Amino acid sequence: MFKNWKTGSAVIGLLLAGGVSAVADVSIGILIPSSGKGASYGQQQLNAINMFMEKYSDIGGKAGKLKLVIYDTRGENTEAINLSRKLMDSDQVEAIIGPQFSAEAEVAFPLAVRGETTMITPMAAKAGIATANRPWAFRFALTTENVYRPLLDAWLKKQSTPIKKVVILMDGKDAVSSFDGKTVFPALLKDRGIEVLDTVSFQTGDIDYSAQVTRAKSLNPDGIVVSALYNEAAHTVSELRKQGMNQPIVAGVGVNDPRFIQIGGAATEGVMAASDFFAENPKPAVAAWVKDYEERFKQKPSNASGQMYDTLYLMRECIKKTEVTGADFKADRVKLRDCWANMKDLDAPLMGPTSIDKNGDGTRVPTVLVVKGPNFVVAQ
Amino acid sequence: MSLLTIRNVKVAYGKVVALDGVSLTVGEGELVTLVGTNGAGKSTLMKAIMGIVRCSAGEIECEGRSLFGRETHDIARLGIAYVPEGRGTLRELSVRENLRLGAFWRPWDAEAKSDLDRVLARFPILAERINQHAGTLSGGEQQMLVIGRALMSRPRLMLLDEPSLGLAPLIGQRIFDIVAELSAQGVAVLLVEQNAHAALKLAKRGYVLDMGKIVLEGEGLADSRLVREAYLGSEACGL
Amino acid sequence: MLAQQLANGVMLGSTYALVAIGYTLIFGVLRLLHLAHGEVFMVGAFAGLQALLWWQFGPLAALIVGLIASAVIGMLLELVAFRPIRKRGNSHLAPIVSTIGAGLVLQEVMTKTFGAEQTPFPSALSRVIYNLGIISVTGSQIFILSVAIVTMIALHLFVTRTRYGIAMRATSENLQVAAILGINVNTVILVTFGVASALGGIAGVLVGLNFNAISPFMGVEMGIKGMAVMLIGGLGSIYGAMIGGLLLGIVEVMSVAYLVSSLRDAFAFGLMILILILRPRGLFQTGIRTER
Repeated sequence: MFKNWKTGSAVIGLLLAGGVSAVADVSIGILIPSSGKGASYGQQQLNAINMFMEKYSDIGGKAGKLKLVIYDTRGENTEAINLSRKLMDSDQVEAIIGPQFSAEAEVAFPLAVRGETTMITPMAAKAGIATANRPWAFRFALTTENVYRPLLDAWLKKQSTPIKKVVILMDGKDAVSSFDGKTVFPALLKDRGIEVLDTVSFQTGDIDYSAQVTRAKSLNPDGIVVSALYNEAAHTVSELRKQGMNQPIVAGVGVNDPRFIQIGGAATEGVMAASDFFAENPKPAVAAWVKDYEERFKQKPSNASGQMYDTLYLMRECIKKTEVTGADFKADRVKLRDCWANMKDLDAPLMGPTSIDKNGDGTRVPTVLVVKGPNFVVAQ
Repeated sequence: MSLLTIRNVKVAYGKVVALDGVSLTVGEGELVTLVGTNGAGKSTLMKAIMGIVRCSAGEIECEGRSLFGRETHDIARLGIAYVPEGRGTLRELSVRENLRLGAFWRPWDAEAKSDLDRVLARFPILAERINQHAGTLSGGEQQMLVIGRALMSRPRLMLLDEPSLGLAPLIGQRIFDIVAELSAQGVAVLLVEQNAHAALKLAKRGYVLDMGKIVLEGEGLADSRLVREAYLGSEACGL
Repeated sequence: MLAQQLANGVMLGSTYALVAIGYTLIFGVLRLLHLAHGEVFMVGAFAGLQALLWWQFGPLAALIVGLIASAVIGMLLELVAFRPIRKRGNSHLAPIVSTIGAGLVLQEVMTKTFGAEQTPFPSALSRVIYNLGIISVTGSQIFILSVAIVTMIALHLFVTRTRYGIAMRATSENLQVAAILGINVNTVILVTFGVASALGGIAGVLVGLNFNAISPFMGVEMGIKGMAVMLIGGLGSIYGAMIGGLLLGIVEVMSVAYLVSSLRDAFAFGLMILILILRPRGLFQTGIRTER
């Protein structure tokens, strides 16, 4: 269960540091599911951690080395609770990165508040988990709301004829798609003065979407919002085009998968979506990192690895900026909390300038994508 | 040589013995009657001939060819037309379709079509109802339909199981007249009847079946004292 | 919108009808549920897909490939999963188990070959939209509807005009009477499986063409819907299955269009229960009873 990152190099680092002056290492706790149901996420995150530490384990300045204390929660809530306590009380870490799943974060975040330790989850997505645990809990990932805000702006800006009325087509069975379709999209659209004529649902696994699309068509909207997983979204888009609805389409996070285009074919052309992390991003920093990752691990990096890498990077930036030295962990914890809480456009290498809003949630400009031919490309 | 020869046939349903060594013959063009009380095994014998129930012993031959081990449809194709008890009308099919299926295994050619004309001439009521569902016909009409259907196969031998059952006496008599007519035209008939008196009078030769065994056989059974007392008497009493 | 939704319902319903006719034909001659029929439908869809992808055939040829593949699989199932059991005496339970097993085998084979995910079906038909007054239909929809109608007319002619068609109905009504008329019942049953499965295969290709995606598990839901339609229409009634299929398709589409999609199946099966309460033997009553 216990995984100290490269014990050997950590010891060497300590000896070297000891030779110069008596500064302590800055230790950061990490909670990931490296076994159990979420093991694939945990493994991808470990890959990112290894890449990061090879490059950035030296902090520089007055601080010593960055030391990671990595524990495996197996994706279980009880482990997340026990290991959070252990990191705060026994290991006396300066801050904790994790846990990864929303259910774990929901039970671990209150401990962070009680233990007055900064805790930041790189990927948990459920709305409101950081908000409920101010001021110590944070989230790096964009909430769907934070993804859709810039997405909708880009989508609306792109249209030659302005969009006034939309219909939302959503998967009523999938939890995230349904929440986004019923709550997130309508609120954002309302803010932009757009009327939602109707919200029409289908069910995961449906094959026939004709009735829903005919209903949407009868309302004659200017644009269409699709909130569904890639498969259902692809069928919906196909049916829309089949019934002759050529209005612009914007889609939720569920379509961020190449299979959306494979299944939907030509009908998906021009559909807009947005993603935090986009592996095909031509930006040099991202492209180089993706290439390095692929060479090392013989697979494409996922969202999970990208989020872990950037969270570590921002944590190190905060350590440097607030001159945390690891000498007084109580004072360090407050410094790091304030750094995260006031983060403004701090540049993360993969996902770009990141801020933390008043809810403790990360905000940044997601990569807005548009289907062009057989691929998603970055929308201009 | 007789057309149908049954020798020492045994049939059992589980432990219940239905036929216990029955022997019987039907000659070419002959009309033979088989009488007996309910449960004597008359219908079982018919089913044994058609291969619907399996015999545990004995021999059934048609023109010297054994029927054992043959499937029902093969036996039918030898020229044996079976009209089961309860008639076996295909109620969902039209009268025409029922008659058409009588000639299922023959080519539907000019000969078959002229047979159809002949059947319809014999049973004009069927011609009137040719496109109706067979289920809408009265009992007597249905009996005529199944006999007509059997004739469509140009049978050598007809097995008739209780053709008068459930029919008004007048109509029953009409059926018997038709049976006699067929016989006169050279179709061999094995007639099973509960209406023993009428049946025995119709046929020259007859058999009496009781508890799975032939207890009496020969000509002029209608006049036999034993038959009269044992079977016909009870008939007269209205049983 | 009502007219357009009716058209949508008819499109969906015609595929239900084709599958349900298959069930009802087989139930007619055997008095047994063929629980792998949904998978036969699925195999037809995949065969049609192969015809389009590998050989670049047109949709009509894909349809023929699909129907032949399904017919072959269906007849194979009769020989492997039904006939041996029938020969050993009439068990009602054994064929249920053997056909469920056969269905799972087909699902697994297809999953291993094509993957468990939905496979996109190339849109081989024109996306041209024809406006017919209040409704608009695509070229593909016209094709699908024509195929469904032609298939049903052909089936009607088969069962009323041909020797084997009439024999099939005779066998369906009374197996023993059919046999004493000289009908080889086993051959008729095999032919019935061939015809029923071919209809399933056509439905599979039509679903692929209409909805542009197929999966090895598409037969499961279709199988349940097909059985429901059979009960709605009346056991063993071909015309009941046609009408019942259209009715179910329309009810499903209407419930999605005017109510909520999550209640679609509830409405579909509610309709079935309602009809069975009012008419226990279905819309088109036949001589067949469920209790035997």
